Amino acid sequence: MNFDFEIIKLSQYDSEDVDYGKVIFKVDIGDKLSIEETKNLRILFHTLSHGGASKFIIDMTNLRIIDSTGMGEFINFVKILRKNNGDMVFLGTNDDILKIFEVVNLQKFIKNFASEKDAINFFRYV
Amino acid sequence: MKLLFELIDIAQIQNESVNYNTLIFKVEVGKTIDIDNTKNLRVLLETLIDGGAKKILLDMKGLEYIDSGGIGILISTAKMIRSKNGDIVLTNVTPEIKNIFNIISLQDFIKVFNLEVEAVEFFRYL
Repeated sequence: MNFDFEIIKLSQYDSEDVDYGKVIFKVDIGDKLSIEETKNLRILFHTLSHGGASKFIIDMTNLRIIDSTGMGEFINFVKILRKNNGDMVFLGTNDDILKIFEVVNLQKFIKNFASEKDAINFFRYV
Repeated sequence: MKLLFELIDIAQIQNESVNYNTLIFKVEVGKTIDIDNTKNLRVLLETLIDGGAKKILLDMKGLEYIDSGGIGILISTAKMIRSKNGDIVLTNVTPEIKNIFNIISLQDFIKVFNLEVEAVEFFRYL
């Protein structure tokens, strides 16, 4: 399973050391998030957050299928990030997936943004 | 710069905990590694290594251009991961890029494999 990655910098100024307060990791998780994909995503999240990453945009634009394992993974990861003053948001979640989220009120726990610009602006104040 | 990311698990037995000795982080680097995107690649690789990743496979399949900054990132990443008893290897390097590597004998410092299966076999015995 592949994930598309992008790094977004909140600051114009670059320094040798990475300031994770000013770096957003944007991950495109593809079209399906079920038990197999969730396992790999968990390892990726775990590794990046242990390495210092604290701000994530999860690009849900292409997501068509998600199961309870996938949703559970997002919830667990957001809790860990928020304990360390970080956060994670969704980008471009389609209506079908949002309806699934509404069943467990996930949309109230994790913010969803329609545009990348809004998601990035959110992180400027986190 | 978009980076395609994949996890390869070479463990014989699957278990719940993350064992970085059996996990290969495969990153597809895209078309160019130059001044515009070298820093993003560095951030991703350093975050993965600081987070525990010990085996990184850089797939240079679509790579058409790399500058000295990009080569510098490969060298510094190799030094960093080797200080933690891990390693980084390259696969699918085109002849044009190999010619650039030959000038500085980079292939003597970082292993280059023609096939991914050869790289995975190398990592089994690391």
